[in-house]
Amino acid sequence: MGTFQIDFGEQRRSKIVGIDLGTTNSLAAYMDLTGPRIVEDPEGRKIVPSIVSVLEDGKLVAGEPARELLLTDPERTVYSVKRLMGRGVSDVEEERKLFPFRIADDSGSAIKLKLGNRTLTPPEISAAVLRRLKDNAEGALGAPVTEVVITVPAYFNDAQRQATKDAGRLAGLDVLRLVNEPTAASLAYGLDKRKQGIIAVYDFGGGTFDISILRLHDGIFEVLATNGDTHLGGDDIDNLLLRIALEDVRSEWGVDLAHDPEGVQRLRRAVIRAKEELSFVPETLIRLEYKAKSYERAIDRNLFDRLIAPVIERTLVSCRACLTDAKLTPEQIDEVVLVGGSTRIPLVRTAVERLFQAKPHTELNPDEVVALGAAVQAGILAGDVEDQLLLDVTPLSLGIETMGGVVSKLIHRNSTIPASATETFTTAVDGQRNVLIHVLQGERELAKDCRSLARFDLKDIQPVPAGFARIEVRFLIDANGILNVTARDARTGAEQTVEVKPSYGLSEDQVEAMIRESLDHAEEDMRERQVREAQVEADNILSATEKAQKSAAWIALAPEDQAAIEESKRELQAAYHSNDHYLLNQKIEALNKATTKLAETMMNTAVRGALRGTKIE
Amino acid sequence: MAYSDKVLDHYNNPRNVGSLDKNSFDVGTGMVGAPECGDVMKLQVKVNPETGVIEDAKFKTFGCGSAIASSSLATEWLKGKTVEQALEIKNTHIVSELALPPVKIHCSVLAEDAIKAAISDYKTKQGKATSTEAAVVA
Amino acid sequence: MSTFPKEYYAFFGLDRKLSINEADLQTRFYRLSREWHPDRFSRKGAEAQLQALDATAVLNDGYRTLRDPVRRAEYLLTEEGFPVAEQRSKDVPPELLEEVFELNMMLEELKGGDESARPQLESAKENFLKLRRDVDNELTGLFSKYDASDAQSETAKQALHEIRAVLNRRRYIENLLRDVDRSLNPPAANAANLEERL
Repeated sequence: MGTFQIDFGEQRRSKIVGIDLGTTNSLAAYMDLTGPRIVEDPEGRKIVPSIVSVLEDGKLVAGEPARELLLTDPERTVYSVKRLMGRGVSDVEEERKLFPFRIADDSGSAIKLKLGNRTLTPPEISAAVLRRLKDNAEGALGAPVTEVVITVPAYFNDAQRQATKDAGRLAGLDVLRLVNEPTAASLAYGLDKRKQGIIAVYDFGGGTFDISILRLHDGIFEVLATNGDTHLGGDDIDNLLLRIALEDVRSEWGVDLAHDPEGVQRLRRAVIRAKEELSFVPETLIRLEYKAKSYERAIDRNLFDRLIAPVIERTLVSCRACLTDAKLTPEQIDEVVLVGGSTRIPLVRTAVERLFQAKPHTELNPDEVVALGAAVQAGILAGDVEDQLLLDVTPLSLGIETMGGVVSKLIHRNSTIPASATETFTTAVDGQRNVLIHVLQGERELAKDCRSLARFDLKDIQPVPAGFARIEVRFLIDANGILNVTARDARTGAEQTVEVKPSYGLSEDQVEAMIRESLDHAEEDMRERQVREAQVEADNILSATEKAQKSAAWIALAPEDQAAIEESKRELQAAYHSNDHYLLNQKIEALNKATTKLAETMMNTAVRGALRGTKIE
Repeated sequence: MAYSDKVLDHYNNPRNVGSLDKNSFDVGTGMVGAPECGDVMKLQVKVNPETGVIEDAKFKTFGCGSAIASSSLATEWLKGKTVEQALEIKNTHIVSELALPPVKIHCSVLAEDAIKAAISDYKTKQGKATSTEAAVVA
Repeated sequence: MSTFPKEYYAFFGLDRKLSINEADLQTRFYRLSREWHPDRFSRKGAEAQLQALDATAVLNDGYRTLRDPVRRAEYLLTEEGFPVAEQRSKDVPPELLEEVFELNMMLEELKGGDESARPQLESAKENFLKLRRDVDNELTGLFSKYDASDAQSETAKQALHEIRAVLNRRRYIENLLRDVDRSLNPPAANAANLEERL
């Protein structure tokens, strides 16, 4: 489709959609002529709760309907699954104490959750949310959506990013870019209007906290440093309140609601409501009516502030570390942007204002700003936004394990990405054929204190005496913050095979198996959708071709080329109602090919016209 | 696992850390460094001049953990070996004994260089001692 | 799409000099980023994207290297055939090793002590900082010497040789500084550490 569509400037290309895949809520947005715009569902709702439920028949529902099922059917419903992305069972002990995750016994390096009669991984669950967003976006745009930009917390590690990308693939989406949430927010604010300056973005969401410091320079957003905590958010504040409420209920009712999933969910809703109200009023009530009993507790902002102060202090520790890394003092920050629902809390605003000595920007809805920014990035990728460019960094240092279990750092944190490092290794034993490289992410000195990413097995090394081999390994972090490893034998120049064994999350094979499985599962739905998508594409190309046939370029075209186009058109029209998307796509491709020359000619005419200063219709 | 617990043990509890009297005639001292990492290592051997067997070995390393682990292991190995056997120790032996992951080349030569330097120092001393003795006898 | 040089100076369109104007380097970096960043190629096919990724990695790595005088010098040394890696003990003068060893021993003794050793640690740090300032002044002089001479000349080679020796010394001093800093302020409580303690 490429050449053809690019050449028809006004022809609508398929939109790249920006997605904020949040811990609590998710949103999609796209660029229209006036700027970024949030997608609304048919009922006019913008927010899709990041909640997924498994129905009796095994089908997944996400969003608002799942939110309702969370109350009535908590056993088959899951929320805050973003906290589990890219993690192993061993590192979610804390999560399990606070969240009702039902982790399957056969979970290994990748967590599986039991929901109703199904066992699902976090990427599969997130994929259900993404599918919902995709549907909403297709409805709003009236066209298929296949290409997306998804935002992730800046402090997400490689495995968490990979898991997010996997979720996209499982939802049938081509994830063109992962963008860091705080950086996306800075794009949404259009702060480039000020041309130069230093901006701090404080992003405190439902489950994660990020701080990023950027330098702005004529439309270039250069991230200088980032810091954060991927397990710190509004959820933690909810849990503090919930603990108190559960304790109250236990002493007042003599019932431990902690063991009553529905009761806990109702109480959780009650404390969240109270928390949200406290952002606007000085005092409120936590109130629960459940099983003919009622509970009520007054809570004022004073008590609330004391309760959450330690949580906020943790965010400030990150902020100070980030300033140090950026080699800046608080006074050097020109503007501060607040992102994420938790920044509505007055204490958060005061604390941030005091630290950076600047009144924070809050003009944009903190729930929407990340999705809006993702849409701007989508516009950059589509070529619609030309003056802006984002230069992001990797949040964590990348290293390999060397002798003594020590980590040797190859790419330091806050390096602008893409970034690469090359290291040469040798063998330890005569005739050694494999070298196993253990790659880690983190700032600590010992491998055991860092996050294991993967083991890369360099295979089929030329057998030579120990110490003679020279294997050059290149570590490349791409613009998504995801690691790629390649290796070559420096003596022979031959590429080495590298087998990747991820430490957490899904292997490539597993993802592919899931994609196949999901295809089987919803084969009918899928076929329908694919046919529909192909038909939309066919409409586009047919109308573009017809328009082109009225241009001067058509007349200039050789008769045999004209005939080929007519023939391809007829075949595409014939296949239109065949219900066979393979055939349809084939015919689209054929017409696309047949019209390449026409498109080129039109393009050239247009360019020549432009050079002469005349306009070609 | 890519490496044995032994390695971690040598890193966490390095053996034979310390020093021997460097002026003693039966002690050889090697001082080496890996400039790329900024490591410096002093390795000493105490040799029985009668048998040529290394009776004690001590080291002190400032630098990265890899260097510490490999010097710890090297000194363990040296004890009980003759001077000639010790010279045959190659860094790669140390590494394969530790069953280690990839070897960064610049870090890999330190212990081997240190052994060579210490033994060469010892031999120099002995050479001097022998020639003085010979002079006395004559 | 055009090809790109893998050599940093060439990528930035700069002469191979050891002294660099940082503001000019930044301007070039932004301009080249606009030209090569993968975001500019997301709809131009897989091959173009790969090339953009590779080129931008060179650009970013190059910017990191060239804007830092020490890394810049190490890079130029390696490019000119004086590799910084794979140096052996024989490349370091024994006096330097002795000196560094003694400094380390002294530092270790102080670290073992209680809070009363703090003033001494602080004066040790002052001393290391002074050593580093001396080394940096020496480097500045050598940079000018190299830049003023013809790259192929004996003077240039001599300058590079000296620079390598000074850089080796500097690395040892840096390590001492890092150690003394760690004793003075145990690893900053960053969010991750804090989480662990909680």
